[in-house]
Amino acid sequence: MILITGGSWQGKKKFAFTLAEENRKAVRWEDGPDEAFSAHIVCGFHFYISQLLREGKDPLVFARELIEKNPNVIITTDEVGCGVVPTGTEERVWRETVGRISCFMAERANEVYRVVCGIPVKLK
Amino acid sequence: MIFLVTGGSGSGKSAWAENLAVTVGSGRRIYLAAMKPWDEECEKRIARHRRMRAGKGFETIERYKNLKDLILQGERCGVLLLECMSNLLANEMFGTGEEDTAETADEEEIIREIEEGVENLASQTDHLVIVTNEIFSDGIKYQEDTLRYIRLLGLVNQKLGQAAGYVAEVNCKIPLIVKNTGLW
Repeated sequence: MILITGGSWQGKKKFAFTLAEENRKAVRWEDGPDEAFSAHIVCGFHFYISQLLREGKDPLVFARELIEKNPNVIITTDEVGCGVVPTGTEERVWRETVGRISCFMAERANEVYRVVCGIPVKLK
Repeated sequence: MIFLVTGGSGSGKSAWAENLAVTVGSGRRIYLAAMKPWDEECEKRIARHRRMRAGKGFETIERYKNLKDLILQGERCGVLLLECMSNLLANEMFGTGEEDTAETADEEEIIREIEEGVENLASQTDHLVIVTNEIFSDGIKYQEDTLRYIRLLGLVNQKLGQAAGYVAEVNCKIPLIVKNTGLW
């Protein structure tokens, strides 16, 4: 598994495509959550987390299942933790969960990258 | 060569970019200021930057938008420091409040305008140092205008990152070199 993090609009997905083999299948939440288990690239995991939380599901269970079923997946997620603590509970929980799950996935990833200005920096 | 310097507010990126410009460029040094002094707070910020670069040998040119038509007069420029892309983009998107500078709506046109501006500057100087801003990691859902601004700055930064031979992200006045083609 490869994790690609970074701020919004930094070119994470574009970089993910350069890592994937040909005929790669990239999915996002709107394609259906289960599609992630067979895709080469899963885009915007922070959005998966917000949707799962909204449905009352545990995003960590989903993340664990994703890594087990799809051990070679490339996952992109936004860094969302560098602002003021949101006053709304939903936003606050979401923000922290994104950070915690990014840590969880990074621990299990073979490689971790952070993309800034379109440039990947290898963290792990 | 193009040098791109990014970082958050108060990270020390401007001071670091100035020193970088002084180090890489010999000969004529130009500081291109893109921030329009809208109010007293802007004036103070500008005064602080002026003090900071005093004695470093920069000529200051103020230009708030439309860099593609800027022609530098006189001797060839050794290094030009553009400060900063986040102001320039805001001016291109939202105007400068003057009659001749209406808001530009078309996103591709805005990006093209900035790209051509950067190319124009780069052709008139040995080195171009561009300061931009990190505003992409706070996870806040802003209103549409602001989201659009964030998205466009991200796309502009990607283009600049590609064009640059050297990219640094500054934190606490310390640069993290994210790209270095080794040409400098």
